[in-house]
Amino acid sequence: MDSISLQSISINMQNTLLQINNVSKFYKDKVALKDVSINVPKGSIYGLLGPNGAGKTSLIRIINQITEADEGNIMLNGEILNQSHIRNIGYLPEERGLYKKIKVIRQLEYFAKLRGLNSKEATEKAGKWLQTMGLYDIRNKKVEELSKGMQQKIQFIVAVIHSPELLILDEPFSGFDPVNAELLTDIILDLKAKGTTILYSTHRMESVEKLCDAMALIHLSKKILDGTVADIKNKFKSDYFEVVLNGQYSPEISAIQVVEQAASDTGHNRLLLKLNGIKNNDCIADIAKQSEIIHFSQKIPSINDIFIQLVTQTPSNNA
Amino acid sequence: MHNILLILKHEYITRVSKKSFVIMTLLGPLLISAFYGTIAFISIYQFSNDKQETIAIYDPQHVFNNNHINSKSYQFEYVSDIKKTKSEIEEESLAAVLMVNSKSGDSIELIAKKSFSLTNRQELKDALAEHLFQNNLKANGITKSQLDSLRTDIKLTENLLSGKSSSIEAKSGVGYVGAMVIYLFIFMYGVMIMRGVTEEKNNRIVEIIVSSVKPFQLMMGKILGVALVGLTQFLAWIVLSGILITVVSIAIGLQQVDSGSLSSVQSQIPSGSGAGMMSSVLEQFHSLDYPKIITGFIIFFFGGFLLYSAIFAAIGSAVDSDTETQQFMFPVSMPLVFGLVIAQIAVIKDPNSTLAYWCSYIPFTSPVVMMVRLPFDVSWGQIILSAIILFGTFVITVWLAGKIYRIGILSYGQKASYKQMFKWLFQK
Repeated sequence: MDSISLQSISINMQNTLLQINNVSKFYKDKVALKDVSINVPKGSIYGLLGPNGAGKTSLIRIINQITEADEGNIMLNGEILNQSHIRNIGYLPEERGLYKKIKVIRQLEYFAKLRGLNSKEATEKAGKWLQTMGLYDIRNKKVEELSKGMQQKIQFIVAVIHSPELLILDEPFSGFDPVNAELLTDIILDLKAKGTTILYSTHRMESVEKLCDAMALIHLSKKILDGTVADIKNKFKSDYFEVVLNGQYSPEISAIQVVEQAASDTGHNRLLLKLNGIKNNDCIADIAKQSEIIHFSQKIPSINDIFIQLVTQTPSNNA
Repeated sequence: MHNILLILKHEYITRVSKKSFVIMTLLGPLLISAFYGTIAFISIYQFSNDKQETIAIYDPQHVFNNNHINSKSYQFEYVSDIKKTKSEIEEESLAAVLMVNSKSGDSIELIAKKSFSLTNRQELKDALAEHLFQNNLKANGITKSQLDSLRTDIKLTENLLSGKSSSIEAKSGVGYVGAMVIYLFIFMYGVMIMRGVTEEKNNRIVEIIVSSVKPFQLMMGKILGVALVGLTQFLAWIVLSGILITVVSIAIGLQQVDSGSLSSVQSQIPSGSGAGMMSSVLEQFHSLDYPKIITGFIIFFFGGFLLYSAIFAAIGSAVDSDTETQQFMFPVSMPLVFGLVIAQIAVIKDPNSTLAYWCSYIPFTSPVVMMVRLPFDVSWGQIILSAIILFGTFVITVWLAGKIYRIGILSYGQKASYKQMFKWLFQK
């Protein structure tokens, strides 16, 4: 399948923070990434979607300069990615890990210093973030003494402690309970409001609609879709309509199909119709002849539906 | 460089502030002295039996003339009724009977219920032989003092062309202790590095760290940090042992004075003899070429440690758990163990033998073997050449180890193998 690009606004260098240009990565016996290009606008939350093993982690590792791309390049703020950018990037890996036997505060300071902060800044920032997360009282505890949720929060602080311009979050919500997930969402949105660009990698689609401005879908090492979330949903809006009626309906226009029929929660008749090119108003008129219409809406596919549709369509003949 | 220092500092502080490190550092000298004390105690007291056992002698030809035989562990009783004696042995009221079968006494049969140990048998033999010797002296009209005057006690002192002389015991001791320390520290701290690497890999911390620093920097910082921890512990042990020895010596010194003043008999024993011996031992140690030995020790301690640590770090990065390390540990530790064996032989036989000479150049054995040879007047040229080979090998090894490390730390779920590690060497 060809890549579908739906970027409505043409992106120029001024508002692109991260530019991934034709990146490929090969391992001995397999292709991890094939000719992937993505533009992440400054200040956006950008979803990086794909099933497990699609190549998301390979791409993230390249952006983090853990590994190198075999082909293509990556630009941050218009500069080819280099060691000096380590300070500008924050990273929350999917597989979490902290030193179990080291005190929280020392651990945070160490990671902050590795990102280029000096001792004073590191201590200051660690203290500030622990307060934000409500963890200031446990700063002198060892990580192994903390609950799983607390450890997850500390891990998040490690990613943001140096106030990165680009924050890469790989499945940030895994391991969070609903209350803490809410707190995390607020913090992510707050960071965005303060100008942080967030690359959000996940295979949990429902959170994408809630958080992301734009997204790219990676499947079998290739980018198969990208664009703003709104544009993508529009493009994939379907021919299906949900109708709730106070009575029965059997289409007089033969093109209209009743796909599903069931009683709704309120005891009304709920139908799923496929219009097959018939105009909305003609359909409504047809129904109105037979029954009172309580609800009529076009089914907008969720990102999840689009994801499943595209992923199952793409033949898995990986080169 | 900044990053390596950051990691070095982190590794150092983390490890030095661990409870186990503090405890080991404080207890180490105590344990070591307790260990040697126990060995000394055992070797002195274990084989001296408190209760004297009685052994019967059946001596129909009167070789021993029914005379009293001196022995620390046994008292002897002359018997004539061999049957009764045997039944007494059966009842264990007698330990054994000696049947003297020849006129000269050179053929004696030992009949006992239980087998005698090697040392017990030797002691018995010595006691009997000494008795016969004294008898023979008397029979030939020779006195003990006459005999002693015929013996010449030679004091052999070594004088080297370099003008330095010291006893072979002092040289061997210093060399062997140094080699042992290097050997132990390479193992203890090398394994510590390996564990640390595997831990970071398993915790997935490594992913965060290598997004900030290069894998090679992480590896080097770790190796150097742990090397300093090892050196710190070693120095702490030396200082603490020094303090301990001083305290103990003072305590013993005071006791001697006390007991001396209390007992007039003891005070008559020339007090200078013990101290004199002590000072002569110290003198032997003083005459060693310490600048050379200490410089050499530091060079080979660090060189050997760095070389092996790089290999241990690579192993740690390739495996997923400590249990998987076994198959790699064996071939890696072989040369070091072999080196220690060579060192032992060198100390006992010839520190300048061909084998010891060549093993002190081979980088995987040189830290231990060269250390043993150091006090035996090895030339600076040899030391420098060996050190260059050692550090050169380290540079190559750390470069190769880094290549395995950078892939290994991010590879999960594969069973580590030599083939795999070899492939990683060439992976981009």
